[in-house]
Formats: sequence, C-alpha cells, structure tokens
Amino acid sequence: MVRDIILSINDLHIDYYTPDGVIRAVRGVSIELCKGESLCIVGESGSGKSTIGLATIRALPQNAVITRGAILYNDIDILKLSEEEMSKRVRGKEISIVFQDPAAMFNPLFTVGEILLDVIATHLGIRDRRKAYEYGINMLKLVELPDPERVVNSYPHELSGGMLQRVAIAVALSANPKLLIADEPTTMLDVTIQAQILDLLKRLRNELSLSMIFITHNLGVAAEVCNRIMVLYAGTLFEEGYTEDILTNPIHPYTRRLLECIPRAGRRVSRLKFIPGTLPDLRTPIPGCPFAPRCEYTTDICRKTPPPIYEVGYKHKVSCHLYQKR
Amino acid sequence: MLLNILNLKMYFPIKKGIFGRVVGYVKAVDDITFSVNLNEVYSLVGESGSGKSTVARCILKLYEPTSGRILFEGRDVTYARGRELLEYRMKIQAVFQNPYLSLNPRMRIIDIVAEPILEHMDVDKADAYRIALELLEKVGLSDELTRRYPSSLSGGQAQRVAIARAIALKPKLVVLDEPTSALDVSLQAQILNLLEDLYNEYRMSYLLISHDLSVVRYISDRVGVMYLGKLVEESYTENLFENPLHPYTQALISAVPEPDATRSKLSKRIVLPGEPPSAISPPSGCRLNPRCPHAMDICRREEPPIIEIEKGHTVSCWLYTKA
Repeated sequence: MVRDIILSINDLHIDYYTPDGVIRAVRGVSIELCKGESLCIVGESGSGKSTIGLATIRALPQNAVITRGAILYNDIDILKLSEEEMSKRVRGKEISIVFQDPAAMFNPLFTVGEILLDVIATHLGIRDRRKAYEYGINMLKLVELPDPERVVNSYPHELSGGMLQRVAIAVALSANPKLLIADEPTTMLDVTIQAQILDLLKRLRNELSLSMIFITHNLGVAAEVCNRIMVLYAGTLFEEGYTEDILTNPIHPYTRRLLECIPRAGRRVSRLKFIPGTLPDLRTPIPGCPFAPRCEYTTDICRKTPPPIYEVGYKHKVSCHLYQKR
Repeated sequence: MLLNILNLKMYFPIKKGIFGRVVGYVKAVDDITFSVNLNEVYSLVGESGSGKSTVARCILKLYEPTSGRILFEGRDVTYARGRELLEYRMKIQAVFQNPYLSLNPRMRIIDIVAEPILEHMDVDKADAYRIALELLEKVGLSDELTRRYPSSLSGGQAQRVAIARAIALKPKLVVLDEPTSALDVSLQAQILNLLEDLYNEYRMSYLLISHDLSVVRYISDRVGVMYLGKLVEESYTENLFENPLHPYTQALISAVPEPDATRSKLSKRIVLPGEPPSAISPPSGCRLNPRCPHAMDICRREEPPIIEIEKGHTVSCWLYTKA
C-alpha cells in the first residue's frame, strides 16, 4: 500500500547568525509525513525541534539561513515559493501552526472576534460580516469553548491560558489547513488543562483528518498524542519509529537514557539515572556523533565520523555506530 | 516536629480608585494546617493559583500572613523581628525556580556562596572562601567555573550554585520552590539526585513546592495537595499515589502524561471539566464542586471537614463522611 506523503523534508540544514558566532541548529534532518499521520518531534532545548517547525511555515527569524535541503509539501518545494505565494496559498490555508504561548501570539489590542474574522476574511474570502461571525462562532464551538458569544468579544488578557490556547487552535484551523504544526502547545498549561487540550487535539485530528507535527520536550505528552516519534539531539536525528516501539524498545543510547531519567507519577523509582554533562556547543563543528561526549558506549569511531542511519526494525531507524552491520 | 503551620491565611487586598479602597480579597491561602518533620521531604503540590508558592513565601517570611501561626522548632516565628528573625533565617533557606533571577548578576559565583558564610558564621575570609569552594565542589561545579559570573553558566549549573548557597549555613529546612521546572529532563535528573544526596548527607528537611507530580513522587516522604488555597488531601507519598481519595487528587494524578506505551490504554483518565475558578470569589462549599464529577448538594452548601481515613492520610471531601 502506497500512502500519500503530505510533507517531506530532505536533508535540512539551518544556521543562525548571532553576534557570538554561527549556531548550526539543524544538521541534516529528513522527515516524511503521510496524510492523516501524527508525528512527534521530541528533544531537549537546543535540539532544533522548533526551528524545523518554523522552517516548515517559512517563519524563521531574520538571522536564520537554510543552507541546504528541501521542504516538499504535496510535492511543492516550499523554500522556492515567493513570500506572496506562501502567505496567500500555504500559510494558514494548507499549513498552520500553534505556539507555546498563546498570549504572545495575539495582538492585545484586538478582540478574539476581530482576529478570527480577519483570518476568515483573508483566507476564505467571506466578506459578509454576519456569515463570517457565524463561521467564527462555529470555530469556537469546535474547540469546545464555553460561551463562544462572550469569548468572541473578549480581549486576549481576559481569557485564561487554557482558553487562549483553544482560541489559538480555532484561529489556526479556521481556514481548513491540512497540516497542523503544534509547537509545545501545552507546555505552559497546568496538567489538568493540558489533558483537556491534548484530548481536543486528538479529537480534531480525527474529525478533520488533519496531519500533525507535534513538537514537545515531554515524552509523556508525545506518547499520548502521536503515532510516530522522532528523537532529535543537537540538530540531528537520533531515532525514529512508531510510538510503541520507541517507548518499549528504545535503541539509541540517548533515547534509552532519556526514558530512564524521567521520574514517574505512576510508579515508584528508587534512584533516577541521569545523563552526565550537557549539550555540545552548537557553534563549533561536531565531527562525529554529537552525543559522543556523554555516551557510555563511545568508541573512537563515534568521535570521528557521524553515524549513518540504520534501519533496525519495521520503520524503526537509528543513527548510532553501535548498530553497524558487521 | 520542625515546622508547624497552623490555620495559615494569606489574603491579598484588591484596591481600587485613588484612595486605594479595598474592594475585595484574593484568598490565596485559606486556612491551611500542616507540619514538616525533622529530616523529611514534604511536598506541596498543586496547579497555578493553588497558593502553594504563597505558603512558601509566608514560611520564608517574605509575606506577613493575614492570620495563622508559623512555629519553627516549637517557637512562634510568625511575627519574628530583629535578632529572632535573623536566627530563623539562618536555619531556613530557599532555592527558587529561576536561578538567574535569584543570583546577583554582578557577583562572582564564589562570592555568592561565600557571602552568607562571612555574614553569619564566625570565620575569617580565607576560611569562608575555602568552605565555599568545598560546597561548590560538592554540588558538582568545577574550580574554573567559580570565578565566573552567573550569566555565563548554564541553567543547570546556575541552579547548582543556588543550591550550594542554600546549604552553606547548614540550614534545618530548605524550601525548594519549583527547583527543576526550568530544566530539561536530563538536567532535572542530575539536580534531583544532587538534592537527594545532600539531604542524606546533611540530614535536613525539604519543603518542596511543585506542580510536577512525577518529581513529587520521586523525592518526597509526605505530600499535601492544594486546590484554590485549600489543602484537600495529605498523606504519605506511596499512599497518596496508589490510593488517592480526593476527586481532585485522582484527576491530577490521572492527567499526568507518561511515556509508557501501555499506560494510556490501561488506566482511564479523569478529565475535570472547566478551569479553576478565581480565588477572589471562590465557590461556596467545597471549592471543587463546579468541576467535581461526584458533586452532591452538601458540597455546594458547606465546606467539607478534614477527615482522617487512616493514620496520616487526611482528606477534605464530603464523600468520606460517615452518614
């Protein structure tokens, strides 16, 4: 069975130019996402996960440069589109994004309704205010906001974090995109509210047959929402596979360690394992595996050559010299 | 018992108009009683707005409580002043969430740790710096880092400095207010292990303030669960997590996403509808009643009493009153 690929990212490299030097944030990441699939990009800070998300909607900051690679959305190279085509045809309409902090995303001077109507008018061309208003209210109902008539006339500061995130999701989905990028959408929320938002995203994904890229640092959240998980470290792919495979049978030493150092609320842990050291300096070239200085299995080859990607199971890939076929 | 908190209330007035007329109160902490024993890790867990940090600040005497008493080693320190306050402050230290905000950016690491030693202990400068250096080594910071400024340290390293400073005077109690919330999991594990080692070595007590139930389960001996300014349940850690009684505790524990492939399918998640109401006008009766799946008539009318279910396990819920 050949499944339609909605997004394919090939060998993406992204650098940030800063006064302190060039930060090589993404170092050759490839992603394939099928229609209706949800993929989770998991990594700690500095892994480049958010940079990939921003690159996909071409919203990288000014100082970022895509040095190599291609991002194909339905076989269109997004990186080659003009800014006008991008904002008219792709952003919002095809690919949408939800960020970590919804309060920072909204202009505080506009009501929720004004923001929502603006998106509906530009992307769907509904100029009739009453129709647009009705559409907006329906969007707010879709994200299960209580009392949408009141919310529509509220300013962002009048709503709580959880409610604002629901509004942000409504805005992101109002032009019927096919692909939703969720960049840490629940990180700033309390756990009980986080549970609500995760349930909402899962429901919407099924109902609207959305494809989704979910970016998070929390493996627990990843386990809840996604079919597939991709583990990033220092801008490189370490391991990728189905959620169950990654959680029950992690192969890369980093993934294994990462899972072991998470304390659990569901069971007793006597002593946490931890990963010694810190993330490498992303300004310096990393000749071998970026995890080599912190890894317990490091050999000479790890320090010298970057590991290739090995297929270790059904759609289970790992980038580690340990799995070299002899 | 080391620390006793008796009927603590902290109301913040809401002022309006040019004359600062008081129009209401934010009842951040509303009648809370608990205690921390010697050599114990006690955790207060709750979501934002539950009042857990306010409790910590009252204990640290950063706020003066509206009413209630704080007893430390049997002595009332609620309104301690002058010499008494100074002595209290030597025995109680704090580590906050953001080390960059709690460390003076214009002081070198070594000076930050040596300062309390010079101030409070009867030692000369050379000795103070020697002790400071030992402490920094103990928390895992290399020698060369000690001459740097906080801004050049990573989050994990800066938090280690904050911990070294907190234990410098060998306090009886360290208040940890979300000490690992700003850190990545791999660093969080390092810091939690360090805290555990120091706890075993120095035989002190911790009061941990956290929203993260997995951290709480890992490190604490006893846990108190807060919701909207009230302590709704309290028990020994294992008891609380294996047998949560209060509907809020049950929902809270079940809402934690965990990286286990099997878990999400096995246990059903309890989702509380809506969001916590405002602490300015909390609902009458039990504060959870508008969101609680088991809410009864009495829950809306009267505040539930605190009921001891088994030794050390108390819950404040009408479901457990004997009819």
